[in-house]
Amino acid sequence: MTIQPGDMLDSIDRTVTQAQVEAYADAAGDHNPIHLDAEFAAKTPFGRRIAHGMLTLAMVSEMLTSAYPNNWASGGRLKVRFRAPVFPGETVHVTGEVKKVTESDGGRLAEITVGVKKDDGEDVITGQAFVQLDRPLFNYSTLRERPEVPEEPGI
Amino acid sequence: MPLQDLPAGHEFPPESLVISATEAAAYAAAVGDTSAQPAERVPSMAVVAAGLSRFIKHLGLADGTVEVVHASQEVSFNRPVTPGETLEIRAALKSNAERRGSRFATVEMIFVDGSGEEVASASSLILVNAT
Repeated sequence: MTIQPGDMLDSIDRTVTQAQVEAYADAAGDHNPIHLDAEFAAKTPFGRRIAHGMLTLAMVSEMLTSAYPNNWASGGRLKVRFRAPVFPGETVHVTGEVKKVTESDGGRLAEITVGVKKDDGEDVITGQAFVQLDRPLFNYSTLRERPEVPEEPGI
Repeated sequence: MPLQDLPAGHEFPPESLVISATEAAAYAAAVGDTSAQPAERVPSMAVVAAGLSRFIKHLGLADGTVEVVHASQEVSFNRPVTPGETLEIRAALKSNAERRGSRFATVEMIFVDGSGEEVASASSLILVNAT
């Protein structure tokens, strides 16, 4: 895999909807009223409902997974700040740029600047991701036998 | 126990976390990730999201009596999680302080598999304001 500074990851553009926020609340088990209750949210400094920060961050992880299908899930690190809320109806643009590739005995480590912006350029998320490019791929056969689990709603 | 009564360094009792293929698929659909393969592996961030939601709930921060804002997040992934796999969440309150009327708390979580290996870790800074 040839990776060098300046490489851009495939970006993601996505409009966040209130229906998506509600689906995420159920899926992630986060029913904080600031995301779901319009009356409650109106009394906060934001003035209206906002998307979960982890919903937006999931798009950053999706971008990194697409770029590094195995190495992100096995050896990836991410450090971000949430700069602004995303309001349902807003479109966000998720980007990543390789800033540096360092080599050591353990192999190559890519440092990637990641970001999420709104249409008007306002930062939503800023941060850095680190991906070990030469780490051995995870061997699923080392896992124990997969247990049977009941299907329950929410995670 | 309410967040304001917990000292920095407080360790929460370990918790079990299992994410089924159905739950992983629901998560992928909710975030709009059409490239995910939830039957084979849980989307990496779903593990952290599930853990964080639990501790926000445990701390009484999801009942509408306070405003909670996620300020920053760190994660690391050592290997993918398979649907149905049982993990243990070991969580601690790394910091907990009030500044200018807002409470700043950092929750650290380590996700460990059945053989005791760490599969992921996370550190979440949250701001809590009275409503």
